[in-house]
Amino acid sequence: MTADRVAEKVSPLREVMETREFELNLGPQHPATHGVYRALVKLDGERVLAMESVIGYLHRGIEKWAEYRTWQQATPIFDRLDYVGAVLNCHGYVGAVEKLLNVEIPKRAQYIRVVLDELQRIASHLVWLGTHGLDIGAQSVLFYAIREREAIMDLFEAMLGQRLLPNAYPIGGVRFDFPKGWVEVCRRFLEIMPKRIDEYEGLLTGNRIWRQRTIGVGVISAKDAIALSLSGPTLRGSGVNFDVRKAMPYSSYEDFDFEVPLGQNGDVFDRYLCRVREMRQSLRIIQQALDGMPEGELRGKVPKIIRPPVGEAYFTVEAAKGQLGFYVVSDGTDKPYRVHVKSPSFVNLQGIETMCKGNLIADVVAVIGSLDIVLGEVDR
Amino acid sequence: MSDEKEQPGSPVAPPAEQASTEAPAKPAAPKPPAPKPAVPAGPKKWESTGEVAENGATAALKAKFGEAVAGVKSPCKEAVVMVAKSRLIEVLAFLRDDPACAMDYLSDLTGAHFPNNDKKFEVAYHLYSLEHKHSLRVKVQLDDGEPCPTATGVWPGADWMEREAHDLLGVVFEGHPNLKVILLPEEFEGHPLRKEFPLGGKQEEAIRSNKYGKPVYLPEDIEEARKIIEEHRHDG
Amino acid sequence: MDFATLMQYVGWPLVKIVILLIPVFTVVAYMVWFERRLLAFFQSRLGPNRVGPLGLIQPIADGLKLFLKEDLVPLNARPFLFKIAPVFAFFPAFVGFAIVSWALPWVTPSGKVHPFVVADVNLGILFVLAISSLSIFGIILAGWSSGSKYPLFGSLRSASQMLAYEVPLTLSVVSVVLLAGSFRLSDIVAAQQKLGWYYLFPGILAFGVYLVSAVAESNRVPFDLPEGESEIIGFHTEYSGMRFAWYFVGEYANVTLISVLGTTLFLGGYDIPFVNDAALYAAHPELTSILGVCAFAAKAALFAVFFIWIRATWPRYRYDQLLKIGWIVLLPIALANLVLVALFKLWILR
Repeated sequence: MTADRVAEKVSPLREVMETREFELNLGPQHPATHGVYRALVKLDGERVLAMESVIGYLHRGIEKWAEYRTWQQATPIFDRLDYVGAVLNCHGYVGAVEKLLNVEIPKRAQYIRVVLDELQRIASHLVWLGTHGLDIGAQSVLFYAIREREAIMDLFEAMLGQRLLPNAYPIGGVRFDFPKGWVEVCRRFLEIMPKRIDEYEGLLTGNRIWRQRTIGVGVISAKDAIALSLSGPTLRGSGVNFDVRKAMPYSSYEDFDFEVPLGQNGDVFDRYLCRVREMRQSLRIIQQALDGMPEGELRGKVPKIIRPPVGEAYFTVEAAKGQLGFYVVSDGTDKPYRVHVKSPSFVNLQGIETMCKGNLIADVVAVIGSLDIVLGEVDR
Repeated sequence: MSDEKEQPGSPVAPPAEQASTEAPAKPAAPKPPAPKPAVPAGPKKWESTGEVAENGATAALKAKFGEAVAGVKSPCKEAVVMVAKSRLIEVLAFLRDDPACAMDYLSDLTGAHFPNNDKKFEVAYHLYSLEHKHSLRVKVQLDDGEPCPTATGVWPGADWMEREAHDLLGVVFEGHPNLKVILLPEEFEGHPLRKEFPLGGKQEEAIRSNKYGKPVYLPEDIEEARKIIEEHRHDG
Repeated sequence: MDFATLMQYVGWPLVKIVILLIPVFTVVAYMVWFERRLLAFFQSRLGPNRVGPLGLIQPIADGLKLFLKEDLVPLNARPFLFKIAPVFAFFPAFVGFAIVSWALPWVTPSGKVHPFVVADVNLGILFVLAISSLSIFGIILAGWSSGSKYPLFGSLRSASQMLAYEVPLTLSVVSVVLLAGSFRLSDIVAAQQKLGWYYLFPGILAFGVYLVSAVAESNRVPFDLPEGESEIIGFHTEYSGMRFAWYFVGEYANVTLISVLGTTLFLGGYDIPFVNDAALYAAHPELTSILGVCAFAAKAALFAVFFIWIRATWPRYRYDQLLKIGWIVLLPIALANLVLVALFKLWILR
């Protein structure tokens, strides 16, 4: 609106002064979008009228790539889906192949998988907590969460050889047993962790500013959430009790006693509480698994070259972000014919428009944080 | 059961523990380590093996639709049904609304390309019931270019999943509110998940066809260089 | 114009300005260092500790780096306004330091008395409030002249935020002025020296309002949405290099100024706590002045620590909540406080 234009249109002043819809590009490069995610937000002043998501910046063709490797060779790439929660992705894929092969996995291997899965879940939630807090302005939570995550990374490094993308499971079980002293270090971690979670909660849960930023923001009803196929804490925040570990137990989860935290209102605060409480429940599960660890083999009977029967299988795990599903189609050869990943972040991201409509632009960042998306998973 | 894997087209079913390199022949095998299975004549069709599994949902479906739904074999005891395209939306809506099925959760919607089958594409709907805790897979077979009715009317969550199937496989969903590409760039040509699409994309083709045999040296003059860059901008 | 008047009105003030600005610049620069270190300690890490002992050369290194960067003016920007906008952020903060009295007057060996203040304006506090409002221009011009949506957004928010919090800030200052009976800062300190608790006791509500408004005025957490690095970025998105440094320094100068003013208004300024200043001054004037400056610095440091502490702890308010606090919560409290202070003065202090 330069001075000349104003001068031109002095008499129909209303034309110059009218407010219009304003389209803002929360571009692929933005510190708060947790990756390369682009949102085109139509604003009326500060209120969001509509929101369109543009994704695909991180599409790497993982599903196609898997078709060119043998069943076991394809395992490492699925770590790269949700790179923050890699062990769980591996479990999903390996579980699907094992389902197709009808392999019996020894109990000890199942318990070890549970321990590693839950540790990975805690690590993933810690990253979520830190970055979500950082988006809303609580800068210190990130550093505390990363400090704890380092402990988990050390445990992974000692056992699996890698911190972030460990390619944890072969088809049929686990590769290695616990190294000497690992269980003691893990138990010490389980001792200090509850106090640390209390620290995070002390900073956030009762904090009036945090509550004002998150309560009532990004609400989605249970009906909408189910219809949109949301999963994980995003769904449970709205009060829907769907946790794959309880509904379709795999890998001996039925042996463990743990709660599934549910929210009530389906807002950002409830999802936050769900995840924090899930961290505590994961600690319980690991404790029980370590206490009740059976003796036994580490791998089931799996042939050297894996050629599953012609057919398909769909296997889901409760990943940190939601229900992670692997649909594998085999044509009897040693390479997968088709692998499709149902990634929770991809499906959860569909709900963002429903959650953001009518809220202010500053809330969009809070909602994206509460969805806990990882673009590697969204785009595959 | 894992020992006997049927490999259609091979004259003998080799024991499962056999490695591809020499392994001591099992007394049960009639021959010493068999050579690679002979390539069968004609393209191999993909058809699932195993047994048909039933659950509450399939029973209700059979009761209502009879012949229109057919059970599909599954090697791992999953309930799978094949539906004709004309009755697809009816079946999906029935599954969602019928109290015995109550499949209110669409877990996944995906497609697969079977170039050797009669009908080239299959779209699979993975459904789950939060109440009864049973799951079902509904499949429908389509020809190349044949549109599939959209499931967004039944479950709004099918929105992006259908867009992805359309994007990567080329399956058209008619009635979809916003069938745009979702994972690929807008100007991308082709559907990568199809079997004939090379893994390396157009670049692989170009490399194989020697299009990029020689490196392109850019001239000193900026305008000339810009023109050459523009020419090659949309290659691969 | 003889030499004596020239010295009185031009010479000595210039000397005082130089003596004042060198420590003030250093303090502002080292505020950055202090904040980064303290924030790091809160966050279970160390902060800058490599560049020089304890990282003390870090601000110099940062300043040098910013100075040597390319001078970028975006294509869509309006060059003249873009270039002068940082000036408006930078100068008002430093001008405010001119009216603060740092200690009791300095008595030279020859018996001459020099007031420990650059310009003891009789409308001191009003002058500072007026000048510091100019910094809003820096923000608005920055946002508008950047030629891009995000800075415009950020600057509009920041401008209305600063306007919203100017009012409670001024009202809390007015209540102090009411108690002291004068706008001149040295008078305000002198009035506080008679009370045990300085103006914390009668002005506790005013102190609270002042603290909150101070944080909001200097765009710090929890009110730093306009600068919100993780949200709509802010009004200084398009600025880089030395121009960005002006804003940065301006912000820390603002924080320092607010701390210094808060100390003067509420914490007794250069009064040394638990010591009878008048007696000490009669006996050892130089010692009292020096200790006065030290006491002043310590009290101002308390403010700084408080600001950094809340930055480490609290999340950030959303924009509408921020404005609501300014207008709907702080304004009535400040007005009520004014009435209470007036009554207090009328009946109790007499």
